[in-house]
Amino acid sequence: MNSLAEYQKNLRDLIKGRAGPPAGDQHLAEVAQSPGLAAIREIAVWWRTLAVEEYCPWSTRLLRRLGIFSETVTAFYRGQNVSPYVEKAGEQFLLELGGHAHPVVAALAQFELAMLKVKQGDTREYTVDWDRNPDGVFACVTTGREMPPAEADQYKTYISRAIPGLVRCDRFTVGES
Amino acid sequence: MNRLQQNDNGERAGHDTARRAERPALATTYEGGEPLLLEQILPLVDYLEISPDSVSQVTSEGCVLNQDILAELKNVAAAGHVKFLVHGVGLSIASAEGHSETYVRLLDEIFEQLPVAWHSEHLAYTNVDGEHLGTMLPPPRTQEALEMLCGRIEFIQKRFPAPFLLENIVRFLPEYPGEYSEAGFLNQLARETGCGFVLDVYNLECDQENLKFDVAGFLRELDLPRVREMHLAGGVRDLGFRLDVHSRLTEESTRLLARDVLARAPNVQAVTFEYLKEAVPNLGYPAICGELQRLRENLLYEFAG
Repeated sequence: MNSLAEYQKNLRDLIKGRAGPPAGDQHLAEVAQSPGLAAIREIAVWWRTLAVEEYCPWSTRLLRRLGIFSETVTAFYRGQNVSPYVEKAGEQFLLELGGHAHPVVAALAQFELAMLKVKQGDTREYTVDWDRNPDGVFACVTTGREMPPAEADQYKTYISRAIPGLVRCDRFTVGES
Repeated sequence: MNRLQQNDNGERAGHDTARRAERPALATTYEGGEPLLLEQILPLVDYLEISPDSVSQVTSEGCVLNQDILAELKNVAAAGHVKFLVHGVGLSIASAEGHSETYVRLLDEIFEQLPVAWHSEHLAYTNVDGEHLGTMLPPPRTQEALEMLCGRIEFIQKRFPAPFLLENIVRFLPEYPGEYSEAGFLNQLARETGCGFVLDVYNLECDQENLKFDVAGFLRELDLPRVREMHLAGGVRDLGFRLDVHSRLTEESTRLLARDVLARAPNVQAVTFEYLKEAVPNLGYPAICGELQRLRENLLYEFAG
């Protein structure tokens, strides 16, 4: 072993699936082949899953509807320095999802995060753009209805403590200024 | 006569029991926010085990104790029901980069606010190079790790006016070929710092099943008088392993191992039944209370002074 610090970094990279064992390191080569490594990864993702389910229920439901929940949480765990604290981990997850390639996943994550912040006392106003009616999206995640299709019109939700009920939604026809 | 019953003279009918000043106390996990559960477990236990990591939250001011839970725990303390055993997850005492300062600040606050009998942490690391692993790993049992750990333990002992204990964790990965045996490493840490041990017998069972760990050999070598607290839990088998998820009641094998340890470890002052907060809905309050009752009647009464 070169040093304790180096050993721990190599082991972390193995667990996070970022690198294989260093050349010539027999112990870490054995770890890489061990069933325990797969178990540790699964257990770590399981804990992150609990945090995400607790803190981000809307995004969790949507990702499950889309059949990409497990893979998304796994990628989140491997790619990020995920906080052990539920609130922080949940926020990290929503921030990452806010840049998701699926426009509804991204919009819902941005909306969910904005709602959490505003409910916690954040006085800023947040806006989230949608490519379809957000009412339909919420009906999809809460009642199991079909996901509404993307529309030619665009929607913008405003989230702020200054708004009665915290949320307002405007609909825009594309090309409308 | 059942070995747990008293004989006609009122004497305990146990055998090979360690001579101890008094019967070990009973403790259990409480993470706050479940007043109905608290109400039911308080009459059954002598200590509550709290984890700074579980009774804290992230706010705009950083990681701080959850004030609602703290108020709940202070009420319990003020009523004189119990003292607290503080059991950490987030100290990361074996991280090469250093222990968690956040955790130490949480401990500062807990020691200021609550009566703490002693505190403990897993002999493990959860952080590497500023990154949280999402799991807990044991340090390699090398001289380098031992010296680093001794320094950390001494720091903790100087800072907090209560005994500090280290706990054995469950292992999943092949062992690094270190310079000490599992028990030898713990013994050396204790010799050099005076720290004590939390012996988690469920974790020992997991290691035995998962890695063919020689529990009997470990217990023969471990400095058992250093064991101040024992942990019991139940878990599940999944992913090809017996997991320390603390989601079930204890199994008979765990209680038998606990009895064996109690018979040989004369300074165990508390036996703690641990369960996850997430497991409470499935376990149910009656089962948790029943487990505590059973442990008190069938395990602790045997080891009266």
